[in-house]
Amino acid sequence: MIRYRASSVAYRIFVQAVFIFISITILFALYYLLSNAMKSGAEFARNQFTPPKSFNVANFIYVWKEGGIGITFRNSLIICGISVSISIVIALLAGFTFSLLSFRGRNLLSYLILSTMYISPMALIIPLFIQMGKLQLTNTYVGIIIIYVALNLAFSIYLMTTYLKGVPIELVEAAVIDGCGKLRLLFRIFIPLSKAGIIVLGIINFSIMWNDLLFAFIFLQKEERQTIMVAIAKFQGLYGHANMTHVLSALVIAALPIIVIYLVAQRFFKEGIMSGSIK
Amino acid sequence: MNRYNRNISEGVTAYAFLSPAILILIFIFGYQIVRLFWFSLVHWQGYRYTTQFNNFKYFVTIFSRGYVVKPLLRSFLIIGIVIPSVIFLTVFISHHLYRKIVGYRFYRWLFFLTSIIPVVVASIIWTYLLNLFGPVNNFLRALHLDFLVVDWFGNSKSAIFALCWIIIWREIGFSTIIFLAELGNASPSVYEAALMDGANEFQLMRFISFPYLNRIIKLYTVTMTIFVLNNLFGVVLVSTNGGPGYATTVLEYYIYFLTFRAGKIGLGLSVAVLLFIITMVLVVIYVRLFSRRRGEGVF
Repeated sequence: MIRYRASSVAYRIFVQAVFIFISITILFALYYLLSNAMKSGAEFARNQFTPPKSFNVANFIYVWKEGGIGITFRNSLIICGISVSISIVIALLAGFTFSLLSFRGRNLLSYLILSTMYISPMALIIPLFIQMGKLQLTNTYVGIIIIYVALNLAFSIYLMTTYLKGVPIELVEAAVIDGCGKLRLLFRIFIPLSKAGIIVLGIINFSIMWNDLLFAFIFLQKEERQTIMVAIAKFQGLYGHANMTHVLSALVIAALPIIVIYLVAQRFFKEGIMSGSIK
Repeated sequence: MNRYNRNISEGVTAYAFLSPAILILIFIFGYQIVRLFWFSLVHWQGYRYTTQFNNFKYFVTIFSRGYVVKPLLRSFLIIGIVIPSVIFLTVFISHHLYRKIVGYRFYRWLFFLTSIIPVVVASIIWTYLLNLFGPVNNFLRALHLDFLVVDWFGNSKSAIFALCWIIIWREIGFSTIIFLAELGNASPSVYEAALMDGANEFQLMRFISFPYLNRIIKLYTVTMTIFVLNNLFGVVLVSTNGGPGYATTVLEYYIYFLTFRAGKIGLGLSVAVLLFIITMVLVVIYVRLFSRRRGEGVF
């Protein structure tokens, strides 16, 4: 009995050690990011570990204005905002159809749509690049928005369908008996009852699009159209290790919207990810 | 029970509602995939394509000269390192979070935070942290452990491992949420019965949680393989740029390199076709695991 207890205590210490180690890597990375983003170059060179002497926003203002992060932040907001709205509308229509209507080719279509979620984006990029060049849509908002909507559509439809299936069938039947058409069914019953799902879908899509580097990097090469992630990737190449405090403050600006959105809508976010991943 | 009300089942309405989704997916996916295969079979002059059949010369080149072998092996090396590590760590973490160890609320919150930090941000922070004169190495020097100091991203042998670390670090949060959700459906009485029989915590994890998570582990392995094959561009571009030398040029990054850097678009296309086919095989495996019953759609 005593031996068992001893091993149990040792095991618990081991478990805590693993958890604490992982926590330290996360906390230190975040601390390093936040504290050094506020230091001046000289202060950073002297010491990377201590907290900054004062709450200094000069770096943020510099990268926002001179570094051009402000413009790219605006671009990212425009692109992600419009893409998210369009993909929600399309996903609502499709999710409504999949959750309520039966039609020929339903199963095949659901497989085809789901499989687009896993198609290699890098393989698509070359034909897409030629296509967009031909349509003169490179370096435009429209081009990247079409691509983002399409890329996230399979996931959006899947998530929306699982949500809309939660609408009680009795309610739908009652409405149909009362002579409610399909469009009214969608607008009067399905949308009001699935607001939480729509918010979750919007947040997830927004963060995926905000974080994307590949497509923005290839399709938005002009500086006045770049998204914030592209700007940072180039910023780092430009300043690199010479001006790390500025790169770090740009990183804080880039990570901030996602973290704020998550903290504000934490409960929705977790539920959304779960219901999207687990069937 | 049939969920689909026969009264309102009309194919025309269904397809009218689905038409925006179908159109945009055909334009971005269907049509472009056809073009991908067609482009890989014609002659290329710089960035211009001709209509002349190329006798598979680009495919022959990437295989006969062995261009594609090393990037492919690097991709599989990363898959081989990342997936087992993530799964072992995640089973460990999610089991102990499920068992409510001291501070589990804090850990759960903190670990999830990693998955919402943008890829670019996480990659740049870690390239700084693991830099030769970065905090991690400085810390080792301060402890007089100089023999452990490694220039993680500057050394062609260690760069790929540093890359794996970033991927694992960022992935843990998301996988923990999924595994924890799956464990949430487990019945607590099984754990209680095992505890009554004198099982220790490790045995609970090994003989109850691990078998219980079997299905999700399978699904996750396939999804992660697809993910690691296809979504590393951001991490690689920002942290190593494919270097030093070609040490971190994985298959996906190799396509970008050939097409947009080296200007060899024909070769880039044939590697892209290869990657597409590998991914499609994995997707077929995934769909077969995913669908529980035959003859029913996934939605």
